[in-house]
Order: sequence, then structure tokens, then C-alpha cells
Amino acid sequence: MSETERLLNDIRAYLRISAAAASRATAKSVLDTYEKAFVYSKLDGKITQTKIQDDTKVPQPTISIWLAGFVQAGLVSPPDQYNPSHKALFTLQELGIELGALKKRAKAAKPVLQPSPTVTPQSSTETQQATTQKTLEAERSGASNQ
Amino acid sequence: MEHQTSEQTEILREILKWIKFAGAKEVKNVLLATLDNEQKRLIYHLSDGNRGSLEIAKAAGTSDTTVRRYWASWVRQGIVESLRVRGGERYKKSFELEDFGIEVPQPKLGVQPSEAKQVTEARQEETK
Repeated sequence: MSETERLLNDIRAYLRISAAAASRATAKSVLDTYEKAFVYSKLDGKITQTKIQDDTKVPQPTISIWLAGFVQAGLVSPPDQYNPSHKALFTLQELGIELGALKKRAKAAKPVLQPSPTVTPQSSTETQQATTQKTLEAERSGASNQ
Repeated sequence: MEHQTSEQTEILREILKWIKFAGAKEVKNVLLATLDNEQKRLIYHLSDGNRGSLEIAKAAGTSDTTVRRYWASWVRQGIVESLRVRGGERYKKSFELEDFGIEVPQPKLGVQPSEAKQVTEARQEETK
């Protein structure tokens, strides 16, 4: 290893630990459920959102919203010329987050459709769209509260 | 060209000096929290990238599985870096415990100085 490489390695090691320490408080409030932390742990810069959905059972639209929040919080780098997908800047351990200690998020409540004699029943696609819309709205309001 | 390289190395040294100054407290906190007993501190100290898990395990009076388990955890913590060797993977400490005033425990069994240490010592002898 050349001296330049050794110096750069040392610089990286110090910067990583300092940055992780500075991000710990933010990380605790952003990665506040088991599912969010689990999704975060999957972000290796290569994985697709569909694959994360398969691995974590979190719907892709929700993952997409979470990722934007992670980037905004400075915990994740967005896709770039080196990484085709989002990449976690830290490990959960560096951020002092224990996956097992986190509570699972409450599932979004199913929308209650008021039956009306003048309104024809919604098709299954429409119902699905309404559910997705409600879930997204709940997620958005949750993200903006953080 | 050579002059430029040495100037760049000098700048990097300077940057590292200031980064060490700014980050020393955080690094020490992480090291103290992670290496919370003598055995872990000794294993960390001996992890120089040259010694294998078997040699370190023997010196620390534990199994090589334990050493490898610690390495896997420490790499996620950012206090060791992994190195590819012919037999698989080894880990090298990113920080020297002595630099942070952390005492290094004595090995249970005599440990040979690593190749890197031998080279450094030989160079020091030469300059004398």
C-alpha cells in the first residue's frame, strides 16, 4: 500500500466515524420502525426497489417515499454514475440502530367505503387505487412529521 | 511529477492531522463502547492484517470463530477494514489503541511480531 493510499484510508476511517456520530440523532428519528431500518439495510447501491419490495414486503411506492426521506436526511446517497441505485452511507451498527429493538410499523388502516344507493360499487381496480392513495397520503404525512 | 506527488502527500498528511484532531473524541468513544473487555481489545490490537484468526485466537485464549465473529461486527462498525488474502479474508484495525490512551492487554501466549512490525523495526535499526 502506498503512503497516499494509507493516508486516504486513515482519512476515510476518521471521517466515517465522525459523520456517523453526527448523523445518529437524525437516523434515530428517521429509521424509527423495523421496516424502515430493514429497507435501509438493503441499500447497497445496486439493489432495485422491486427486489427490496420482495425482500421486505414493503410496497414499492412506500419504499420510494422512504428513500426520498433518507436522502433528504443525509443518510443515503441517490443513484449516480458509480451506483445505479440508492446507497446507504452508514451501516445500522454505525448509526447505533439495533434492528431487533425497533417496533414494527402500524399497518395503514383500510379505507371504509360508505355504501350509497346512488353510487355504483367501485371496481376492484378502483378500490385498489383508493387504498394505495390512502396509504401514500398516510406515508407522506408521516414523513413530513419527521 | 515526483515533486507534485510529494506535495500532494504532504497536503494529505496535513488533512489527516486536522481530521484526527477533530475526530479523535468520537473515535475513542466508539472504540471504548465496542471494545468493552480486555479480550476484545487484545484481539483488535493484534488484528494487523498479517495475523490470521487462528494465531490471534490462540494469543487471546479464545476460538477463531469468536475472532471472525468480532471482525464481522467491527467492519460494520467501521473500526477495521477487510483485506483479501489467498485463504479468504483478513481484517486490519483502522486505529491504534495507544493513540487514544487505551491500554493494550498482554497476550496469553507469546505472539511473534507481525511481518509489518518486523520490517518497521528493521528500518528503524537501519536509520540508527
